Amino acid sequence: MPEVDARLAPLLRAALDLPASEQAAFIQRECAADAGLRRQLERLLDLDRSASLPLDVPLDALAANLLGADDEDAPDELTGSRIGPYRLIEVLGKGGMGAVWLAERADGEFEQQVALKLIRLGMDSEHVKRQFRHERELLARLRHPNIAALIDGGLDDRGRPWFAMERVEGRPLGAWVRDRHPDLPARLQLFAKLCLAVAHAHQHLIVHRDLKPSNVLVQADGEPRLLDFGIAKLVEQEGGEHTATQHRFLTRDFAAPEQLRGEPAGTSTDVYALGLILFELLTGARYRKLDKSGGEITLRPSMVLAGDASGNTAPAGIARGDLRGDLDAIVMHALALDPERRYPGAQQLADDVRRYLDGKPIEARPDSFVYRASKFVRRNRAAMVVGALGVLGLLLASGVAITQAVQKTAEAERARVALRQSETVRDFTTSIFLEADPARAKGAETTVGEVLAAARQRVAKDLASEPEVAAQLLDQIGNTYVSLGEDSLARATLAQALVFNQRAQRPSLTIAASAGGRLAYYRYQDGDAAAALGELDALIERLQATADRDAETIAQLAKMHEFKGTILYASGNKEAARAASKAAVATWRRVRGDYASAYLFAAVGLSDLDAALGHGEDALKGAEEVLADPLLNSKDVPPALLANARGVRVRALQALGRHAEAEPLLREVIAEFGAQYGPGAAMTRYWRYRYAETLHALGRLHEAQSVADAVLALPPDGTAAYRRIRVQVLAAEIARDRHAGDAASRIATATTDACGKDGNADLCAKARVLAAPDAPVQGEAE
Amino acid sequence: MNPGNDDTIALLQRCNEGDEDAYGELFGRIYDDLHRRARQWTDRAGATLSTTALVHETYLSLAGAQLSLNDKAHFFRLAARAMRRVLIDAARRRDAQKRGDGYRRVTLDSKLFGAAPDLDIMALDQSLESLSASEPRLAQVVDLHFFAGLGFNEIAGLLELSERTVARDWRTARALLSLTLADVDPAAGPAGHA
Repeated sequence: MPEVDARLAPLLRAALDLPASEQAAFIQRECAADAGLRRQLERLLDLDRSASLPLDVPLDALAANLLGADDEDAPDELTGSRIGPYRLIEVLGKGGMGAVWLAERADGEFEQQVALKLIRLGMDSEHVKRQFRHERELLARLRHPNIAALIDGGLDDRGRPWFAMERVEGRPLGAWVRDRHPDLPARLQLFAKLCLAVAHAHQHLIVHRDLKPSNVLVQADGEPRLLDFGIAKLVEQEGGEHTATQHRFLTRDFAAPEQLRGEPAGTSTDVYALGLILFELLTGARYRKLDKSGGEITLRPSMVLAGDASGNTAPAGIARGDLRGDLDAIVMHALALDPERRYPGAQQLADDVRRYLDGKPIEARPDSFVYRASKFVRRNRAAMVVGALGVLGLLLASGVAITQAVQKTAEAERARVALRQSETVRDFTTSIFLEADPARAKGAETTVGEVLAAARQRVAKDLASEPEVAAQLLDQIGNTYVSLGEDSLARATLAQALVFNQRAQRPSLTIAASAGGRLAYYRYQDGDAAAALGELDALIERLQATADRDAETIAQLAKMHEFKGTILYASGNKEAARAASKAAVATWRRVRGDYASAYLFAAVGLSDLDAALGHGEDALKGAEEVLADPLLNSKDVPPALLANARGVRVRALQALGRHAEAEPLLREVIAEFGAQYGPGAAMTRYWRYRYAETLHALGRLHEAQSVADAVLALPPDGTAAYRRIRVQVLAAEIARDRHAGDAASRIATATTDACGKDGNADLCAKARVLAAPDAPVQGEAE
Repeated sequence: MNPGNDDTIALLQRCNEGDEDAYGELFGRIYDDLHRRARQWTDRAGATLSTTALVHETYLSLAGAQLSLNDKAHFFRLAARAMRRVLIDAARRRDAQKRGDGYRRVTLDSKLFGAAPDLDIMALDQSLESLSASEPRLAQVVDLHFFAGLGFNEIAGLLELSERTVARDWRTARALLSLTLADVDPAAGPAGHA
C-alpha cells in the first residue's frame, strides 16, 4: 500500500478552503521548497475536480455485487442456508440449469416441504427482473391436477432465479415404465393426461418448452405430474440473445426442429416434444438416439419396435401390429417438421389418443397424410385459437354467447345474423392468432398484451361494419385488460365497446352493463363516487326492467350490485354496502347453476362484511353455508374460494368472540393462503395478523407477540402502508400487556406511524389510547 | 428478537468508560444485525440493496430513537465500520473461493455498473486504516458517508462540526484515497493479503 505524505492532508484541506483563484498562490507558498510535494498537491486538486473517483462508486452496487457473490461454486455448502423464505435441506438432483433442493419453510409458520430449483445464472438488468416477476405471476396462477404447482419464486442475493415447486413424490416417467411395464392402454391413458395438462397450460398462454420424460413424475397412484412448467421461458429471458441462451438449457433429445434453429417456441413446440415422449412410450427407444438429423421423421414407431434388438426397454405386450396404422400416424403427425402441420394443440393430440383408445377413427389418418393434415389444420383453426387465446376467453365467450343466441330465438333472420357473426368472429380471431403466432411473425415472443393489442386494433379496423361483434369483442378484450391490471387500456377499450354497442341495430344490454359498469367503477376510482353510483343505479334499473331473463343478464345485474357494494363500503357507507352485497348474493343465487363460483365468492364477501360490521351470527351462517356447498367439497373448487371461505368463517368466530375455536382454524387458513399466494403475500400477512390478534385475545401474549413481530420482520410488500401500521399497533398493544421492556418505544413508534401520513384515524386513535398512561390494560382486541 | 435498546445504551455507556469487551460485544451485535439484514435482502426478490437503509434499520432495531447525541455518534461510527467489515468479509470469502481459478480480484466492474471506475474494497480498507492513523477524522467521515450512507448534514450533527467542514473533509479524503487506490493495478491479481 503506497504511503501518502502526511503533510498532504492538512495542505489539501487548507487549499480546498480557498477560492480556486487563490489556490495556485497557496501551493506556491507552501511547497516552495519541495517540488515533489507540490506536484502531488496539484494532482490532488485535479482529482478533486474529477467526477469519477473510486469513492464515487455507488456502494449499493458494490455491496450487491459482493454479497451476491458469496459461496458461488459450493452448492453443498448451501445446505441449511436460506433462499427466500426456505431453508435448503438436501440436494435432490443436479442438472444443466442448476440444482434442485428439498427445502422447507424457514420461518416455522407452517410446515411445507418444496422442491426448490436454484438456477445457475445471474439476472442483472432491472428489466429482466421485472419481466421475471411478471411471468412468475402468470405461472403461479397455473393450477392443474397433473401439473406440479409453482409455489413461489424469486431472485436470490446473487440475482439467481429460484423456484419453489410443489414437492411431488413419484418416479420419473422412464423409470416408471421400466419398473411397472404398463400395458399399451395404460401408457396411452397416462399420455393423454399429460397432453391435457399441457393443453391447460397453453390456454393460459404458458408453453413448457422443455417437455421430456424426466420432467414427468408418476405418483404411486399412477397419476402423472408435469414439472418445471414455463421455467424454461423464464430462464431464457436472461440475456436476450435468444439462440445462445436457449441452447444453453435445451434438452436436445427433446427439442423441436424450430428450437434447434433458435426460433421462438410456441404451443406446437410442446406438441412436438409430446410426440417424442409418445414415441418413447410406444417403442421404449429414444427417437433422437436413432435419428440425429432433426429433420423430417422417417422412423415410424412400428419400424423401431420391429427392429429393436436390445428389447429390454421395449414395452412388454406391445406388438408391431398395435402401432402400425393409427399410432404411427398420431406420432408422425405430432412430429411434423413444419409446426403448422402438427396437431394444432396438445388437446387435439389427446383427443386423437382417446379416439384410438375408444376404437374410433382418428383425425390424423395415415393415408394421404400431408393433405389430410393440412386440411385438419384448416378445419381446426378455430380450435387452435381457442387453445391459444383460451385465457382471453375471446372466442370461447363470444362463440358461446352467439350459440346461445341462435338457440334462443326462433327468428330465422336473427339466427342468420348470429351465424354470420359467429363466422366473422371465428375468422377474425383466427387471423389475430395467426398474426401473433411467433412461428409466423418472427421475432418477439407473443405475449398476452401483444395479442390483445393486435386484436383491439383489428376490431376497430376490420369490424366497423359489424358493430354487434365489435362491441362484444371489445368488451371481452377490455375485461381482459381489467384482469391484467392494465387500467388505462381497459378504460379506452371498454369506452370503445360502448360506442360500437350504440351503433348496433340492437344494442346489447349485457354489453352496456359489462362495459358501463366497469367504467362506472373507474369513475369512482377517479374520485367521483356519486356519479359512479348514479350510473350503476341506472344500469341496475335497466337490467331489472328488461324482459331478458337469461343467465348472462342476471349475472350482469349481480355484478352491478357488487360494484355498488364495493364503492359504498369504501365511501364509508357500510350498512348500504351490506344491502348492496346482499342484493348481489340474492341475484347470483338465481343463476348459481351457471355461475356457482361467482355466487359463492359473493356470499363469502357478504359474510366478510357481516363480520366486519359486527353481525357475527349472520357472518358465521353465511360462511358455513358456503363451506357446505357441493362445489367447496369437490375437486374443482377454486383454491382461492376455499381459502377465503375458511378465512371468513374465522372472521365470524372472531366477531363472536369465539377465539378458542378460531385459533386452530386460523392456522389452517394461514397455511392455505401461504400455499396459495406465498407466505409473504399481503393476504397471508393479513391472516397472520388476525392470528396474532386471536392469540392476544386468548391471553397467549408471547405467542401473539412473536406472530406479530414475524409479520413486521417481513420486507414491505408494496401494498398500503396502513396494513403494516395496523400490525405495529397490535404488536405494541401486546408488548404493553405483557409488560415488555420495549413496550413504551413500540407504542411511541406505532403512534408516530399511525398518526403520520400513512396511518389513518382509527389506527391513530387506537395507538393514542395505548400511549395514554391510564389506558385499560386489556384494550379492545377487535 | 432484538436485545432491546436498554442493552445497547448500557453497552455504549461501558464503551464510553473504555470497556474493550463492551466495544467488542456491541460491534458484534451490530455486525450480526447488519449481516442478517443484508442476507434478508435476498428475500426481497429483485429489490435493490440499500446499504444506507440497512444501517438505519440496524440503528432503529438495536438503539431506537432516544440515544444521546454522543451515543448516537458512537453507534453510527460502529455501524459504519461494521458495514465496511461485512463487505470486506464477503470480498475475502469470494477471493478465497476464486483464488487459483484465474479470476481477478473482486472489483466493481465498470462494464456492469456504468461508467464508475473500479473500486477494490480491500485496498480501500487498507488505505482507510493508514489514513486513520494520521487523520482519524477524515477516515471517520469516509466511514460515515461512504459506508453508512449518512449525509453531510447528518454527519455534521453527529460529530458536532459544521457541514462545510464535513464536506471539505470528504473532498480531502476522496482525493487522497483515490491517489492511493489509483496505484493499485486492478489487473494485477490478488495482492498479498487476505
